[in-house]
Formats: sequence, C-alpha cells, structure tokens
Amino acid sequence: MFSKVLRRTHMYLALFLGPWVVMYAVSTMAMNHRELFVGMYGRGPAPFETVRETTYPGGFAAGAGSAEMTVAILRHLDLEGAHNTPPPRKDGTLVFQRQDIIRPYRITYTPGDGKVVVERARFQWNALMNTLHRRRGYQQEYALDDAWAVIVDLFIVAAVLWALSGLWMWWEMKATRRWGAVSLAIGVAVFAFFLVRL
Amino acid sequence: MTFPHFNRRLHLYLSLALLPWVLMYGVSSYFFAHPETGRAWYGDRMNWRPRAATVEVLPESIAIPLPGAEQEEMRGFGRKVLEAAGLSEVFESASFGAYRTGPKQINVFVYRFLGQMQVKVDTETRRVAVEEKQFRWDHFFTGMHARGGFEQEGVWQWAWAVVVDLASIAFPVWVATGLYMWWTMGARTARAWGWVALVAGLVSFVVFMARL
Repeated sequence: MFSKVLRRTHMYLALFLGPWVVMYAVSTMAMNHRELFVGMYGRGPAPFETVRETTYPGGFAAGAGSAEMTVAILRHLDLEGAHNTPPPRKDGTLVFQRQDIIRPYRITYTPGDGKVVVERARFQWNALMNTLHRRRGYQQEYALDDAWAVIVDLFIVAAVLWALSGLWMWWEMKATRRWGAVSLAIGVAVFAFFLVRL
Repeated sequence: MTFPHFNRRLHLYLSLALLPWVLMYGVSSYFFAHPETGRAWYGDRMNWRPRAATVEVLPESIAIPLPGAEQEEMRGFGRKVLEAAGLSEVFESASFGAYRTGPKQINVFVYRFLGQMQVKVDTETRRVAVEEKQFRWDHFFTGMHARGGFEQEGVWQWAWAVVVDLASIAFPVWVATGLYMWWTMGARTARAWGWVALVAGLVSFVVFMARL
C-alpha cells in the first residue's frame, strides 16, 4: 500500500507540475548560456519604452508613503498587481515597477504636475526566463502571487520527494539494482568531486 | 529491448545519476524562496574574517580600472590582484569577479562551494585586505544552485556548467518519459486522475502566464 501511494504521489505531482519542470529546465539552460543573449540583446536590463502618459488627479497628502501612493497610482491606471515600493527621490518623483512576467512596467509619477508616465520593458527572452525562474515568495498582497509562491513551495517539496521516492521505487525493482547502483554511485562520486574541487 | 522498456530504464538511470543535483536544486530552492530562514539562523550580515595576504599594498604595475570600466577590464584586474595576493591557485577551481563596491573600493570576490573569499582593494591607498567568509548553510546551497555559465576559466568549471546543461535536458526528458509511462499504464483510475493532474497543471500555468 505504501509503495502504491508513493508511486501515485510521484506520478500525479509530476503530471501537475510538468509545465513548471519544463519552465525551470529551459530557464536554467538560458541562464547557463547567458552570453548568447548578450550577443542578441547586449548587456544590462531590457530597455523601457513609453506606452502611456496621463495625469493622476488630486495628488497626495504631504507625508503620504510610497506604499499608499503606488497602490493608488496603479488603481488609477487599472494596473493593480505585484509591484515594488521604493522611496521617492529627493525631488519627490516616485519611480516604481509593476511586475509582469512578459513585459514589466516602469511607472514615474511627478508630484508637481501629477504627471504619470507608464513605460514597458521591451520583450527579451532572457528577461522572461529570468523572471519566471526567480519569481517566488509571499511579499506581495495579491492572491495570484501567493498562489504562485505556493506552487514554488510545492515544487521544492516535489523535487525532494521525486528524488527520495525514486530511490525507493528503484530499490523495489530487483532487476535494475545493479545498474541503478552504478548510475547512483557515478552521480554521487561526480557530485562529491565537484564539491571538493570547485 | 522494447521502447517502453528503454523508456523506463532511461527515466530510472538518468534520475539515479543526477539524484544529487535534483536534491541539491530542491533543497537550495527552499533557501531562495524563504531567505528568512537563513537570516534567522545567521543574521542579516555576512561575517568575514581577515586572512593573511602575501602583499599589503598593490604593486604600481597593476593599473586600477576607472569607474565604469568594462567587465572584461575588471576581470583582468581581479586576476592580477589575486596573483599579487598569492591566490593564483583559485583560477582553476574558483569563480571570481571584480566589482566596484564604493567610490574608493574594488572587491575581488572568489567563490568556491566550500568557502568564499574577498580581496578588498582601496583604490586610493592601494592597500589590500583578504577576508574569508564564515560558512553558512543557506549560502552554501544558494551558491551551488546559482553556479553555472561558461564565463569562468578552468576545465572543471566548464565541466560543472556542462552538468548543469545535462540536468536542464534531463528534466524535460523525465517529463516526456514519465508522460509515456503514465499513458501506457493499464489502470483506468490512474489514467483518469492523471488527466485531472495534467490538465489542472497546464491550466494553472497558462492562467499564471496570462495574469501575473
């Protein structure tokens, strides 16, 4: 019974998390070959291009915090979602980013005239891969971001479970024990070598 | 050997050979997703302790890069600093990089799985200080997870990057071979619940892509 539960858990988790497995694999490959993207796009972050200019009506009370301002501006722009909340610059200008997996936004609010400039990063494959790979955590106040973080945690548990349950399943199959042991021993030896050497 | 047989063996043996990497990527991801754990164990600050260096002042023959210098120039400088500090043995085994950490300071960071160092160069006085980092489990795992790429010199550094590529290929191979094994299973229940898991995963992923 235990063995069957383990096998089914291994399989259903893999079927559900398949898209994440592929995403993490492709993004790892992209990061491992980052120099190819430097050739394609150059160094540094993706450049931003202006997509919209508007005015935030009413302004903010003196002493309003970044958190309050960013949320209000995003609501005004109909762009509510995960974002950072940096402090305003010395001249009062507030520049913050609204996360977006495909093309993040940069929003600049000038308190003097209430002008809001919305820019979007130009699409770059390496930026997409980086964002997908690195997005995690429960810092944002949006349910969808929390849901993503839960899946990332589930993936972490699944990765360890796949390894341990895989070991168990291998040990149950007498026919594969010898060559399995060879594979495992090679893997462990190579890993240990790298650990000490690098 | 039939194809289903080959498929099962490929899934199994590839998994066993790469098992340490799967475990490492799994455990290390926890420390990326929950950095508060590392902070709770070791605090916010990184602890460096001084280590003896062969030089205290950088020779005049080594030109200090100007602010805004290209990465390659900084790396070349880092290499010369490490040689001057008697640390040239790290080129084969450690990754390193030189970064301007202040208006008057350049740090050459040296990374190995089991220990990190930094060589701090005061760009005005040319004074050199070598420091070792206190070992932290969270940084050990995150450092190992993040290590990759083909920019560093040394055959073993390249070999590690090749294994990272191999692991990147192995994951989709496990997905494909696993899908085949599921599809060829006789049990109806497993087929039905497998569909539920597969479709739920795909739909969730597409929703995340569209909305996040």
